[in-house]
Amino acid sequence: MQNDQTLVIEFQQSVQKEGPFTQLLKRHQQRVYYQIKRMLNNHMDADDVAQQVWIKVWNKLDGFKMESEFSTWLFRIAYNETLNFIQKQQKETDFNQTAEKIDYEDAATGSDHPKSTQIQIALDHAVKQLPEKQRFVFMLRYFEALNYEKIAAITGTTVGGVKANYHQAIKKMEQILKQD
Amino acid sequence: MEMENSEKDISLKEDKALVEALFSKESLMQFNENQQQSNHAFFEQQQASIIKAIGQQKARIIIFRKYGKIAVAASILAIIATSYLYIQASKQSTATVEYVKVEDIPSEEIENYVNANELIAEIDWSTEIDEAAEMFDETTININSNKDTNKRE
Repeated sequence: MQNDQTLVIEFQQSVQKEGPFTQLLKRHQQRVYYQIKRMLNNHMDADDVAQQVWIKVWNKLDGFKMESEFSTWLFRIAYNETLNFIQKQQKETDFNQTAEKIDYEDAATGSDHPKSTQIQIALDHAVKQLPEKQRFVFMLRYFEALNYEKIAAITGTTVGGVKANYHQAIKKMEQILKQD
Repeated sequence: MEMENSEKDISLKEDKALVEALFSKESLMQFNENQQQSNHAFFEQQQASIIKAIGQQKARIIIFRKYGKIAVAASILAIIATSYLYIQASKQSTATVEYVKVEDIPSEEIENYVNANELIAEIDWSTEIDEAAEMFDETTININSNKDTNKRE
């Protein structure tokens, strides 16, 4: 099985780019989608953003210099696209606050999450209250189990900054939990 | 899905434990599962849409590459052609002005022009006469008034 680097080189050197691209897509598609979904908490939006990410990958892969791992570069694109999407949404409407409220209510009634318990509802609510960057860092660290160096490369910050973000996220969730 | 390098990261367990102290490990796992409720068919479908979108984008680029050059060349030719025609037209117009003399204009044409503009010519003349008359009146009044003052002195 070819590794990412070999596939990237193959993509950059060959005329028939679909082959290596599809392999990279198949390999990372789910992780990219789930990370975006955890951030947006909406299937349709996550699907749209994920597709945008992969189209961007296709367009920019020829210029990728392999200074970092492919997956780091890929998650960086996903991070930027997700933040852009959130900012665009916030600019367009004040829908977020309403949606958050509705989602929280849905979670409370258990319509969207059949297996929801009180603690799960609280977790869901706390995660949604986090600022985008803290949320992204928290998701990558806890659910993707990435090391701080990689998260720093993805988010374009220092390792110290990322560590601070993670701990601030936990602190904030603790506060929210106490309020609830 | 955990990364292979996660095992090397010693602090990861500690970091995870901080969150698990707030929320139970089960609820965190459940949260993750709720976000990952997409089936295999969805990813195949998403793959197909991505490949399709890329194909469409490629087709657009090919069309632009193929016809874009032609369009650019055509617009450059059009600019050259119109500027050439404009220069030629302006050359012709200056040429006619240079070579036309009053003697060369046939008398019939002059007569026609005069007849057509007779009324305008008359109006011009009448205004000229009126203005001259006014000027004459003003000067005579001035002369007379000067004479009167001289007499008084």
